[in-house]
Amino acid sequence: MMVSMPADPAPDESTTLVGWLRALPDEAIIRLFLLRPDLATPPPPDFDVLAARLEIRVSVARALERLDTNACEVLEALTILPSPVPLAELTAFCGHAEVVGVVRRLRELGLLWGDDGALRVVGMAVDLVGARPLGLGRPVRECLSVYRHTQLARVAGALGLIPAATDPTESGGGFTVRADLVDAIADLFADPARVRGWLDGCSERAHQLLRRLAAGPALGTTAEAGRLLTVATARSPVEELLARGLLVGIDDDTVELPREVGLAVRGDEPAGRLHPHPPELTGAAVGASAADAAAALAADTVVRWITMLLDAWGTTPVTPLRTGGLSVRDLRATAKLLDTDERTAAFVVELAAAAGLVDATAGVDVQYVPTAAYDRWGTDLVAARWAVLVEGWLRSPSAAWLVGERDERGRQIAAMSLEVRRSSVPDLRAQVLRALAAAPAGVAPTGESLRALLTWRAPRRAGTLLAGMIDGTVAEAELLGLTGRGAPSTVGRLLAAQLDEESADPARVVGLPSRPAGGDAALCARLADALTPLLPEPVEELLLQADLTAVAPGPLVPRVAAQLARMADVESSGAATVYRFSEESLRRGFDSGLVAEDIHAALDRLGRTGVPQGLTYLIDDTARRHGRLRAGPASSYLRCDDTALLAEVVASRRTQALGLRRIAPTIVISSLPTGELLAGLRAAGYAPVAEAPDGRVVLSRPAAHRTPARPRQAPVDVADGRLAQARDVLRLVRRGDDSAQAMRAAGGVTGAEIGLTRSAPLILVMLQGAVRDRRRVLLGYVDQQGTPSDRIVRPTAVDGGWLTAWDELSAGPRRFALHRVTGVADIDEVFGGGGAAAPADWTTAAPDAADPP
Amino acid sequence: MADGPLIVQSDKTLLLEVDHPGAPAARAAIAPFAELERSPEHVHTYRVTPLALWNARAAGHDAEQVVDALVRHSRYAVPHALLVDVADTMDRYGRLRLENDPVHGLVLRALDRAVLVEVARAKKVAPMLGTRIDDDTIAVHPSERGRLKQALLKLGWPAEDLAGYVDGEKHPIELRQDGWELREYQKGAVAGFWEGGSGVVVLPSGAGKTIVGAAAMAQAGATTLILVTNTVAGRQWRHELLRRTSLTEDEIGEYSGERKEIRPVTIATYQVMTARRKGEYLHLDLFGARDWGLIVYDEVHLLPAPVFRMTADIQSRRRLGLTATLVREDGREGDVFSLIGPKRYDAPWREIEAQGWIAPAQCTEVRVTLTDDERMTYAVAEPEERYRMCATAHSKRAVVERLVRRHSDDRVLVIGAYLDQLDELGELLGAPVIQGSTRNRERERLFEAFRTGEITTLVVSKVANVSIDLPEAGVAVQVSGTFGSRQEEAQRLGRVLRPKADGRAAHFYTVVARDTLDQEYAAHRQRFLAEQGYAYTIVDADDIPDPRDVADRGDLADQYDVADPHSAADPHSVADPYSAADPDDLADPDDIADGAGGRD
Repeated sequence: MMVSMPADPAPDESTTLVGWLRALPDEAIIRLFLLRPDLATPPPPDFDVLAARLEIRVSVARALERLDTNACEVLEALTILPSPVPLAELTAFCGHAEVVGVVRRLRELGLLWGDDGALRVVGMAVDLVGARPLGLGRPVRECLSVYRHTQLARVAGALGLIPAATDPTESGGGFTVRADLVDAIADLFADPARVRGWLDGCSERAHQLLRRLAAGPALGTTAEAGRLLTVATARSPVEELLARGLLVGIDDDTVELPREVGLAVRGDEPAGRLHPHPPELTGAAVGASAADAAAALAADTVVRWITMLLDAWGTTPVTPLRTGGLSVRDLRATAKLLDTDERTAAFVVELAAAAGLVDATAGVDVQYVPTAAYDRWGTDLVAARWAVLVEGWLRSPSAAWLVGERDERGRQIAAMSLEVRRSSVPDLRAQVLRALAAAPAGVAPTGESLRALLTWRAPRRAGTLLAGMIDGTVAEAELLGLTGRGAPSTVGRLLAAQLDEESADPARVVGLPSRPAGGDAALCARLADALTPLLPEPVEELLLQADLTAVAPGPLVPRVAAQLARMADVESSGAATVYRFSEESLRRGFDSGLVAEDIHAALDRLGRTGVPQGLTYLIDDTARRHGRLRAGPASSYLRCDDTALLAEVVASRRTQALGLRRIAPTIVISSLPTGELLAGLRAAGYAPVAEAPDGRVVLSRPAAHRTPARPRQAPVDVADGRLAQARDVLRLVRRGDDSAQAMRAAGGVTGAEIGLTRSAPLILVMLQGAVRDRRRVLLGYVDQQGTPSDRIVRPTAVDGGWLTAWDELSAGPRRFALHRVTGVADIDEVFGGGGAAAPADWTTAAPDAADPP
Repeated sequence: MADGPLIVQSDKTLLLEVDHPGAPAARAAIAPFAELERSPEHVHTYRVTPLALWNARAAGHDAEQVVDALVRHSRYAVPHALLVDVADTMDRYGRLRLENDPVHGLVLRALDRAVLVEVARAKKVAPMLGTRIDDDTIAVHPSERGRLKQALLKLGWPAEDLAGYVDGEKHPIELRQDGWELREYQKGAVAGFWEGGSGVVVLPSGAGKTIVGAAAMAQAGATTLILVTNTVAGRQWRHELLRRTSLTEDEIGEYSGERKEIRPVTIATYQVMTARRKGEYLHLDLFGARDWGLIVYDEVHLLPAPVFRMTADIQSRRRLGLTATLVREDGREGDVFSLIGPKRYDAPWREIEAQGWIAPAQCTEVRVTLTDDERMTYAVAEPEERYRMCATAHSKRAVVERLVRRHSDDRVLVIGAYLDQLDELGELLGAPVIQGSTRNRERERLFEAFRTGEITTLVVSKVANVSIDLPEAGVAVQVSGTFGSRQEEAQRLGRVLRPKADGRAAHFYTVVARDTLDQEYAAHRQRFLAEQGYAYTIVDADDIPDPRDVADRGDLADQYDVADPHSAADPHSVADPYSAADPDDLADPDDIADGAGGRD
């Protein structure tokens, strides 16, 4: 296999990315695979391919998103400095700030390579950082690319490049080729001392403008951008600087301060103001104990909400919309049930689903019903129930705050629908939680400061989801008791500490707790243990009153609460619970198998102040009336005024299979349907007549519905597994690389042969490199008709699946579809420099649509 | 936190554990902004409503005090959302003010411009507003003062009425404190009212609301219109005013179906005010007949809707509402707030009882087992007849007789809804019967005889529900009645709650037929009374001993020797101008149910 990076027959291993990678210790490469799993999937065959993958735009962009502001700034600084650069020089450029740690981190992530003496940034990272790092403008050469020849000549005149006597616009000052003029001007700017000299000549107002633009961003919007006058005729600072050539009008209403000028203005602080430390979180002080108290209340409330919701859904399952999700009407009903707003109701519904306590039934008649797990959950203590909810919420992809909003097509997003689920939510949620917990104890951080911290931590992360994510997560954290009155609670901090730990361990998916399929029991236990002391002590007593209410002056022990729920209705809930006894509620108790003695005994035991007489009477009265009327199942009946005949029928041996039971002298019931009963009787020799079905007892369906929870997909990202995987990939790479090198050594490739690189990732990397270095390449290409051809091109941009290049064959710009490029070879290295130069400014002209998509 | 007596629930109810040592302090702290909903023996329930919060605001409490009271006395963490809501709600009161502008007259002025813009755009409010004077001020026609306040309250932006009052025609009235004096809470009530200008004083039956009214009149020193529920109540007012104040008979006029006297102090009934012919109210002029300086509304919770409408037009007169409860069966508490005024004084019923001004009451439900015949009759009765069947069961008679005999040493009222039953009982007990058709003169005579102890047992229909003063009744036996009405219970209980000279307990018996509708209704009654904190016991009729079998219970005669100032015979009662049968009373809606069976 022909390796083209570099095509130098005697490559210096340490100055190429491939070489550097190859020399890295195993541990470093494994860590790289763990930090950037996309590099290892599918396993790269050798180090050439791995090096190529380090240049893939998507992959690099993803790595950049994880950098904090400080790392981004250091990376930007590196793109300004010449490559390679020694660490000392970087440190000096950054105002002697501590950059060693950041450099190590960037190197770990594969964004930076080379040892401390010669640091190099991965090419794609340079592209992604952009043309204007650290608020500085582009180099003057690039800024000037838009100027016409006459404008360039005028600038050259102002800079003293052309003698003042000649009219610069007339003759071009002796520079007939535009590129030469640009080169000459750029050369002037290369000397910082000269630039500083020019600055000294500027007016004070121009200085102010310079300082402002130098502080960044280097672009300014002005109506005067196109007005290139002479210094003498300039009236405003912008006109003056334009005339002096210290500012360049890059389009009709934008001016840019060239990088050389910016650096000169910045002087001793070339990197400008850096942000090595995260901003502090500020906000109202609510006190740590108040936060914990509020958090405990919230935890209790959220558990109660879930219980209320699922008890209701268990009795009356809810039918989802045909498009999936909960209807607006059902959501409203839920909000009413929970006595809260719809936003909170949506959160509660999503929370129940996230914790696996509610799910859609399988089959055709889909309904939302509590899962079997709900019954188990219901018997736990409040703290344990809460922990299950939090654990479920933490890894849930549900963005509950989107419920009720409109999607792109203007439809309302329904709770429990797929539109609420966003794969990036768990990661973002973890980020927000960690940021929240960075607040000092007892302080409720403001949204502003939280946003500032998150921005510092990941300045390149963006997306419409993020804005809602912060507010949504903060609100949900409050509802769950991870914060209390806005300040992180003890349990909130515990959770954040866990997340911090996980994010520091690259063997885990960042931001996601590594979690076995059944839920992280250890985390649940720790959360529950942390919450328990915050919750009020559960009580096991009641205040029974003559108005037939019972007040539990605190959270009830679950067993007692369950017992009480069988015989009384909840009238008011909160920290305490008010129960009301009524005939109906007691009847329900009796129906469920309680007897009056049970209730008396339970109340005697629980009632702190005795049982009021009225309640005793109510229980006895209800018990006396309960069951006086009897109802039972019967599928059919048999009635006959002749009691003797009925006796005969029941006694007959031939009717024994009919399940007959005599419940009154003239009535016999059967467990068989009327049709079978009739058939049976007729077979036994009787002549019964069917009656209309009036009065038939209808069997009622059991009230509660359950569905087994369907196994949810749990990421199998157990740390050990991932580590082993990365190790395997590395072994593959090393083996493949060895054989590739051996082949090369045996093949003895001569310099004259032009071998096209045909590996897709390498093609892309080579093209990108060619764009950067302005090199010409030999391109193997298949056009739309399927005709292959080889062309010599000068690539100018690789973007969106297209290569834009100067085609020397047709002597014009042309676009090539990347997927039709069959191979690339570095032609300049083969033939040496030379080649017809493309007009320097053709890039601004629209390329011919030689190969329209 | 830790161990307070109060539990704040998320539904805005407050549970107060009464046996807790901190309970009295907590009660005092929350009383201004929470309505007492239930007060059974162990845990009292208060509710924080917007009206209650605004009442508190009107009384000068601010959100900080409310929040502090909740947080300080609460046992557990108080839901933060609730505190925020409290602060927000209280903040809404007084953002708008009705003021008297020296140039433009009545104006609506905003402390918050956005609110003014919001309400000015509301469909209901816009037509009531006049020209805009400046950014914060809009002129209001004086006639819209009341209706505007109503509308603003509905929008949730109650206006503070600072527009002041006309003084009215001067008429000196003095309290004649000979041998009695204003009680502390009565003084407090008058002061609270006067300071606020207009408003409602909440005092339980028997706590001397009439005297508060008289004291307010003395304070105003101006002509006064008093609106009462019916003529008998009017007569009570007249007696009290003659007794307690310097007013003479000539100064007090009666404005009823029969007489149309307009004097410096005029007592009018709700009935006459709401009488209509061809859809027109006939006596609207009364409000403008004199330059009244004060208008007193007795039993505000019963104020009929037309009177509200009339009241809306006289917002520049001082108004005093008197009632035992702010809870209205029709839910028009908001109209009371905006048209009569905010609550200016409230003394918890039980607290006054504890101070000894009203008698402690023992409530007893006596269950009678029907005979088999009665049960069968009841079982097959038409639905609309069923209640009557069980309520008037003959089996009750023996029990009532035993109860009356048991309390032969006290004065007993037997209360019922069905005339046949009442007549029968009257015959059985040898007691006179008072019902709707009883002429006023006869009523007065009987009441008087009851007061003096000449008669110890009276059988009364529902006419007794409201505003007749029978302070010496120590026992009430209810045999039948309409049901589920909290009003009725409060009134009936009020009959026997007047202070007893010797401090003996009052008894309130309800005789019910077991396992019938009667018992079901009794359950409502039980709940209401228990919620009010009365001891409520259930006994079986067979467990009530026949006093004839019991030995002499001792000499109780001396208890009548101490003269109670409230019950002393009134010298005017004989030469009473209200002697003729009162047409108003014949039209008394309370009497319509008499003999007509229960209503559902």
